[in-house]
Amino acid sequence: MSGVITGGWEYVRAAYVVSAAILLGYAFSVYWRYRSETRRDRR
Amino acid sequence: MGNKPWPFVVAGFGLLLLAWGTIWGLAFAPKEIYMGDVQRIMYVHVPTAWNTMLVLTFAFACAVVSLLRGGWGWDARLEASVEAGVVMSILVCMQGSLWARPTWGVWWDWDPRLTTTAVLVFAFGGILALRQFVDDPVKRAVWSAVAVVIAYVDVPLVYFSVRWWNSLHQVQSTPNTVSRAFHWPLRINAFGVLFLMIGVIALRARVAFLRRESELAPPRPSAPAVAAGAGGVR
Repeated sequence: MSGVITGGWEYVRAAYVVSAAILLGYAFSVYWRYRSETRRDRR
Repeated sequence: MGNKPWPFVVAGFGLLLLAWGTIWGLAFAPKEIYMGDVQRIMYVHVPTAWNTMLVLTFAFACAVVSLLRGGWGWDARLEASVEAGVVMSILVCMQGSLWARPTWGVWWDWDPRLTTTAVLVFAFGGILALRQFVDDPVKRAVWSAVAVVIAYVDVPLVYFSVRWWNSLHQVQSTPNTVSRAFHWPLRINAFGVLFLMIGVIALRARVAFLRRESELAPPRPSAPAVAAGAGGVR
């Protein structure tokens, strides 16, 4: 046992994919709600 | 709360920074000597963790101002920042779990840092639930502001947990303990998440404010009543 971690790219990829999905998904959900609220407000 | 486009500009700038920092961190930054490539998770986990604390600190400030001065604008900002803080706390737990598995050998451990972070999710998630249950907007604003002040006690506990108790989680890094080669992608992503969240929270606060306005507005007359009013009542 050297104590050095080898490989692990699958965890790195998963962390970046999860981060992108959550941050972009949340940003789009806020944009979507903003669009529907401003449309309702204009009516 | 205004309808100027600056939140889109700020959020877009944040996304550009995030793309830049991510490419740098994944493709150009060197491997860490012990953790190898797994350490690259740091470039997304640490900026999210820093900004989660900032966002929840902003929620605390909104709660205090809302209690002292009132005003629907501060209540709208509080709602926006609590929601963003919950989303980011969940994300921090997921990123941390993906880093813990290859380095600690477990997905989750009830160690002080992880436990206090999980408490954040449930405490601030509970405040969002509370806001859904209370119909009176005034009571909702006051109760959720008080709840945010109470829940915020956990934020310094999260920060200091690694210093006060024995923890699997490492102590906070400083520029003196992180190699210079790792600084730039970390800082670029930190500012990326910060700008993205400033834009998103500003937009989410506008949503909350518009909802409050329509909630407080007097009911519009129905169509037959308008027609009767226009034609006169016989």
